[in-house]
Amino acid sequence: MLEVRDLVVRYGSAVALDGVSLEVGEGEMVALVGPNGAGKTTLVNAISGLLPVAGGSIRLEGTVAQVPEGRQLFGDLSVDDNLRLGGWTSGRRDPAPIYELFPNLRNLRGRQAWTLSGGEQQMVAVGRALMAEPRLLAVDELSLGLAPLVVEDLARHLVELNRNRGMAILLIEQNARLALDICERGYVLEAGHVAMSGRCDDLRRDEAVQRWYLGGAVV
Amino acid sequence: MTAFIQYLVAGIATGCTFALIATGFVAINKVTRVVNFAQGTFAVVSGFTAYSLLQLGLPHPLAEILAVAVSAAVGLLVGVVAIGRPGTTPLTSLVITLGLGILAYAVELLVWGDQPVSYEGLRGSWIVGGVFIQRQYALIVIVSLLSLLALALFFSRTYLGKGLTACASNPRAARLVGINPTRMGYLAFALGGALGGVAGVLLAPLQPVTFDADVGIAVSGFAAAIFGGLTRLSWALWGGLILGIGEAMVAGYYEPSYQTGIALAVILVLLTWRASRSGLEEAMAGSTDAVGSRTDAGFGRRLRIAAVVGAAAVTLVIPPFLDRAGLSIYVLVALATLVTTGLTLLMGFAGQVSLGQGAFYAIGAYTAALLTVNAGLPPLVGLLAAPLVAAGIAVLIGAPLLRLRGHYLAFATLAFQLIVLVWLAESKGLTRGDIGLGGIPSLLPTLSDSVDLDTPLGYAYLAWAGAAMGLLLARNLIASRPGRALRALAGSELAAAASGVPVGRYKLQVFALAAAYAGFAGGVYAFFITFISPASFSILISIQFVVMAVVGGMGSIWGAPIGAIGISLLVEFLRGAATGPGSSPHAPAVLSYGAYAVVLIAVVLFLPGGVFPALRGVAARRLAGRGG
Repeated sequence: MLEVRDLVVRYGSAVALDGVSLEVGEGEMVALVGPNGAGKTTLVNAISGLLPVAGGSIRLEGTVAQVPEGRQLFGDLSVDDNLRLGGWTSGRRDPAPIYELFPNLRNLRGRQAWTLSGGEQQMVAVGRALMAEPRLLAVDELSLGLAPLVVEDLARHLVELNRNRGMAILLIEQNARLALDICERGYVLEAGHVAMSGRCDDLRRDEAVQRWYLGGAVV
Repeated sequence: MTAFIQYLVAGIATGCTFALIATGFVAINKVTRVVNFAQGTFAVVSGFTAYSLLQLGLPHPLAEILAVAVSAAVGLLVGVVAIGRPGTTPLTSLVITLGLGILAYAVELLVWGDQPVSYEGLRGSWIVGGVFIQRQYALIVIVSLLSLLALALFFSRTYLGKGLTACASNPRAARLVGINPTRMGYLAFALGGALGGVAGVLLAPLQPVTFDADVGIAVSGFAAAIFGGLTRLSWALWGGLILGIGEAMVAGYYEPSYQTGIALAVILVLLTWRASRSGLEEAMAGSTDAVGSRTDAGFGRRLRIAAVVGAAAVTLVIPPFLDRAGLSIYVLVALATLVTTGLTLLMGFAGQVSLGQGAFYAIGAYTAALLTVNAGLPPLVGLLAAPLVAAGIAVLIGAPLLRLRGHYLAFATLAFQLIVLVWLAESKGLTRGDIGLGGIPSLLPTLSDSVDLDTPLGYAYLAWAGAAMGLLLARNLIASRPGRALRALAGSELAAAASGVPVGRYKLQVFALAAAYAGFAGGVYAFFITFISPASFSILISIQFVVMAVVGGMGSIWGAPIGAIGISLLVEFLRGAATGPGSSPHAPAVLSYGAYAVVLIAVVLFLPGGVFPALRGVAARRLAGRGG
């Protein structure tokens, strides 16, 4: 349902993405890992239509919604308003289904978003993205700045979304172990191009991936 | 006591209209981060429009409602020009709204002329315990409160209102969920226009509308708005009321013309207080955005020296060929160059706008005049004191303002100039008020019958020598260590602060230096013209200096002479064109306002670096082409 072909994105004269190809199938959960500055966020922003594309193509069935890096909530608006604003383009105004998915948020619905804990904020960010009724959810740095237990809980929610509701998910993570554990397929992005791709099981066993992303060299 | 209550009622009513203007400022600033200088214009436009519609025979509420709709449309238009172009920084947008405010002068003069207009509001009054309460006051309070309530509900209860708040809260995230921040900005400008419009139609029956009433309205509204730090809507009402009551008391018990003084006092006191509370926090928010780009590369050093020497030679050769009128323009252009050089340093390198350089010009001129005429000191002492006094006063008003981020200085200097003008006009014992000070002695000596330096020719050389010294000083400053720090400041204030640059102190020093330039130029002006009055130093000359600085280009101090010469010649040309036979009496004003506005807006939008860098770029490309 998402097909990126030879994508080129530039910031001025700097080439951020240099011929990236990537696919996400219907109901698939795909990991995108790589070091800082590899172009992961650029790729997601290009898919979300926030950046101009210099070359190649992006074909997308349905809509994509992004859970941005650092969550980017509307801090002085309530949780409820944050969720409702997620439906700006889809026209959906009732956040009730989100509260079913994240029951914790129901009790926080009147609180200003900036007063929430990091994990709660990440839930709001995911919920806000879901309000756009996307076919594809692009999650940028799910684990950033969160405690391991919180990350685990959020990851479980994403897997449930994928298994039970058939939501296609593109998960961008610096925590490669987490991403490769919960996704079916994965891409390794390095310096603006795809260095490796394949089933997550295979990637996990790959020597280079182990050495550079899973701390294998130490073990 | 009766008088007190009378003033109180009047103060509450005008305070409500200030609150409307303030709310417009806040709404626009919250969503777009732009301080909208055209905020007072909305009130003037709606006042005039309501007047015209009533003249056409429209019934009362309808005319006012249509007038508010018109000012909302004007607000939308201002928004489209000010923020419509992608990549426009808040400082650029501020300059554009300033330009649009001037453009509005031209249009208003064309349509409504320069005479004040008014219409009757609610007639009659109630007498409560011996106090006359005009019904119009009651109407103002009720309509203002209803408007503010409606706005509050719009922001807190409607989905669209939440969208606006979302843009204010996090523009990036807003774009992410599909909200278009630019369109929301337009909406905020339209709201600001409507709010200003409501204030305008309510005020017109009390204070006749003139085309240039916008400045006073905007300054008061801005002062009310900063009670809530320009971001809190609910505080604007309290700010407006406090200010309105304060001004009414001053007008009632003291002197009506000192009303604006209250606004300035409020601005200074509040900002001093805020600065002491949250200096660093403020400094961390956002980034500076100097208008110009600062690249001095790409033009050979030798060529640059040749250009400067050539320009100096031409400047020296021209004067003997000029007649008296020509020499007079020649002197004034030199003085404008001097003031603009200071302003270029302030805008291009400290990222701050001053709309009060005319006030420092006036302070310099009056310092020189008073010291020589009243105190009988030698002219040279007067001339040297002029920049010092101007700089000292700049330090006093700049110290609280420049510790804060944002564009508070622009409005404060505007208010400051209004105060200076009022003070000069009112201190009749010292300055002879509006009559003006004459008989200023000559600066240049008459050596003998055959060698007389006290001629326009002498002043032409003196003024340009001053301008050349000012330019050299500025050039050396930029090349020095503090100059590097200043350039860092223009790039990112936070990064500069993190690198140990004393940001606030440097900004203050640049502001004082810019004031000293203006003060010195004012001193020379006083000796050259030998007669000065408050009318010589209107708000328009401050705006003219800003136009010169922006048009010339703020990335380099060489933009200052180019802007000063270019704009002066343009204005002279237009004056010639407008005073031909059969032209309207407003034609010169309309043409010069229009020209300032159009040139300013066009340069900011299409040559953001200014004319000088653009010319240099063309020259460099030519040379490169020839070389290759």
